[in-house]
Amino acid sequence: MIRLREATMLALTKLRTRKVRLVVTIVISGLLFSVLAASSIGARGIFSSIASFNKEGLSNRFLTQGNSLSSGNVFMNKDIIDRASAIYKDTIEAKKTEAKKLGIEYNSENDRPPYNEYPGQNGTKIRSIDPTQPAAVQAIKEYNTSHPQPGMDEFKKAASTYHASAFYESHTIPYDTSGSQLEVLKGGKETYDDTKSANNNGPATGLDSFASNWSLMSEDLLEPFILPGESLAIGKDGSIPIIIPISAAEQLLGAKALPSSASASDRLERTRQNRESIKGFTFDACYRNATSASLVNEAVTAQQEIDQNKNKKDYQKPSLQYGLPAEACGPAPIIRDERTAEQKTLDDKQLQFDQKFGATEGMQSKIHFRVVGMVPDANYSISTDVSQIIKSLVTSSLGSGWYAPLSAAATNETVSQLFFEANTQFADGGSLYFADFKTADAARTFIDQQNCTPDYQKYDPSSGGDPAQSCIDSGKPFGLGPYGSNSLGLESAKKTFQKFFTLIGLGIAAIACVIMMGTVGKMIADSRRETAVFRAIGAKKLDIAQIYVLYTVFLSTLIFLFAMFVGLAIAVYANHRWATDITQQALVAYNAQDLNKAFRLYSFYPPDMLYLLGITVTAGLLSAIFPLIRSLRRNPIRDMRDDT
Amino acid sequence: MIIKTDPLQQAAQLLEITGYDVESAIAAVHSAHAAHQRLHAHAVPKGPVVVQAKNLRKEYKVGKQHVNALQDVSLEIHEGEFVAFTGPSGSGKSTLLQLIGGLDKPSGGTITIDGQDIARLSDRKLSRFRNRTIGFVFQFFYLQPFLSVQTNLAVPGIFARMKPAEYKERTRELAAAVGLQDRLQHHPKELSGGQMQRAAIARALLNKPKLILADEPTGNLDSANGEAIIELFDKVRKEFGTTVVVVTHDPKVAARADREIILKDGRIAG
Repeated sequence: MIRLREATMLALTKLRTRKVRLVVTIVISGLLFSVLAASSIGARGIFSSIASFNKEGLSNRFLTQGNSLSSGNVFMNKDIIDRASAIYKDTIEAKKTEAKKLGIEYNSENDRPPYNEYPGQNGTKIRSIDPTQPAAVQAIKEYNTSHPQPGMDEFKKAASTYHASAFYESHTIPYDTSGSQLEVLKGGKETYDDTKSANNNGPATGLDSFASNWSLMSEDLLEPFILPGESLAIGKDGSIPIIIPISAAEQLLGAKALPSSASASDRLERTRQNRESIKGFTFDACYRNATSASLVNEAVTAQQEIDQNKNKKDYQKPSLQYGLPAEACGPAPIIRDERTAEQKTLDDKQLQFDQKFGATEGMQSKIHFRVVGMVPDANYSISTDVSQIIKSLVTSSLGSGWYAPLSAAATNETVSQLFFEANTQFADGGSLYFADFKTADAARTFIDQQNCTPDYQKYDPSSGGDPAQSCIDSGKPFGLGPYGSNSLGLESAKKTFQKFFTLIGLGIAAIACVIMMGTVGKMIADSRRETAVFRAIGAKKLDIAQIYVLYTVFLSTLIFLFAMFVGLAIAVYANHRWATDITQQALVAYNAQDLNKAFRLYSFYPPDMLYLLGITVTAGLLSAIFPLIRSLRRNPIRDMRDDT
Repeated sequence: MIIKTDPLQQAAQLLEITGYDVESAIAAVHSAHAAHQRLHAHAVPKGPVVVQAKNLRKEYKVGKQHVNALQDVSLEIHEGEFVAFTGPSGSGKSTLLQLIGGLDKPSGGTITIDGQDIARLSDRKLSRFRNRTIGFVFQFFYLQPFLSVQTNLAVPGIFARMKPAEYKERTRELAAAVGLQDRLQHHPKELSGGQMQRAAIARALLNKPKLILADEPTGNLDSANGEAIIELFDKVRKEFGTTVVVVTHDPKVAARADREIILKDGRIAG
């Protein structure tokens, strides 16, 4: 072999021939490899940015969450329906007896049955429990008591096998079917309309999302998300610390929502302002039990009726009229009582009757909150927009909703009642259990081995089956997944990316190899005379091979550099386009203490670059093998003669 | 065209060639006569044998047919000799030159260069042998267009793994010897045909070969440049003691050789 310096010099002369073909090859192959370069630079930028945010929030922890799968299919459960029917029947009889005893009228037809009935296949009738009917509520409660669900103890037992180091829990406010109401007092005022409910259906945003998205959570999980200077301790004024969605914060602050066309930097600035202004902001929420809510509704309805009939001479106002509360979250007062003594006696008997069969006295209570943090709003839209896809990687920190510490239930009776004594039929449906693992592998193994997906085919709910039974039977009663941090997701994304990068890289290298073979082959063929002359003046075959191998390495390196340039340009463009937007999302999602932290969509990861260079050079060398072997096998005399 | 060896026959032939221009014909006769004298002078060797071919045979397969390019060629060339191979096209002179240069292997017979039977050398050893023992000069010069004259001259040194300082010094010496000392940093396209061939000769001399093989070295040059190249070969022979073997169609070149070996139909005709 000749010296590298001289071989390099001779190889470089090859790059000066066939320039158009050379440039075309570099551009086409380079563009192919630039796909890899751009994806590496972009993905590694995302990964490294996420990693830099990982010091915030829960992202540096390997948490898994589990929810009990054995909540039971109460709707079609025959035992529950039968028991509810029996309770219903007994209640009707008891009510009849009591009504007779009290001397009041009772029509059993006003008491609806505890189930709904609708036609099934082959003339059969399908019964589904009505979870708002008192007999059904009682039957479900009894069922849940006799069929306790796996809870924290079982979760701990399962996770401890995988060396979980700590355990936490959260409880989302249960779905209350009794007709209670829970709302944030906007500007300290209560709204009186019949659309508000303790359980709004469908996705809600802002303050309206409170009633359905409020959770109590272990303090350890909330700690990383509180704003600087705030704490999770119950305030001296009894205020419950709470982390709220951005949209709710803006409503509380009276900030006008930014238009959708607002620039990313405007949104970032708004985030900064919000974080600064919302710290320590206090507000009240009002809870009314079903009776209280009913009286307020009655007051509203009565007033509407009076207003509608005020011009009618023969209209008689109700003898008993409730008015709207004098103060927010106050009781509905009686503003007119023109009942006769007889009517009053009858009403008292009716009240006695109702209370015997479950009616409660009106109760309303204010809950005082203090904002200690913000989380991004839930994103209900399905979007393929690049920024949304990237955002999905950074929104999983805490979740989207309202989060107060578990200790709130211990200090506030209303909170305790709302979360743990509510008239709910879905036993523990809103409870989540968390395990903290020391490594991603331990967390992943726990999820892989203990997660269960209910079998909806074997246990068809429409036929009264409970899909969760398949999980209970297999001794895996929890649905498991990563939580709070995207550490696992990030690990998984990195592995998936690595696989993609490697496989796509090989595919692109194969295509590039074919393209380069054209150029390298042509160049070697064009250089036959020169090769022959070199052979005549003493070059060994290995010397010739060395020159062409070096040429191929240079060509590949140029392709690599071009690919890197294009890849970087793409990544920088993407960064320019989306980085600020994602930064804003990330700052909130991770509750970043440093607001100057930025999300970058480009970063160089040397192993990727080396791999890219490696496959580019390998593709080049492979492309040179056949033309080179063919050239070296040729008779130099013939090549000299042919050329003349 | 075969130049007759008999002076009278030569005269008649040359008159015909020169269109019966008597002066030119007389000059050609003198030249041919001188060549004839030298041809017969080879019986007195000047030095040790550098090239020895015995019963050399080269056969090519063209399609299904075998073509005998060389048949039973035996010759000896001595150190410092200037020998011209002449003969009509297809007579086998270039094939003989290539066999001597180790660019091709004989189908039969032996060929010994500087005491080495080159037909038995491996490809690797043969390359090394060519690099160190032989200098090639081609009709079309074959200089690398993207390299400077100096680097072109250095190429055999590069393949010999000569140190850069050494081959740079040597290229300067040779450039001076061939009158290209001012052209070292130029590129071949900036040189005239004669200059390019001089550069090619300098390149051939870089590794101080014992033997220079030139295939039609003046074939692509005008007569003045051709004359200069022959002068250069003469100079090389005298200064470096290098044996020069030239394949040529040019009678003037052949006339300047010590010995002319005429080939016809793959055999030595005279």
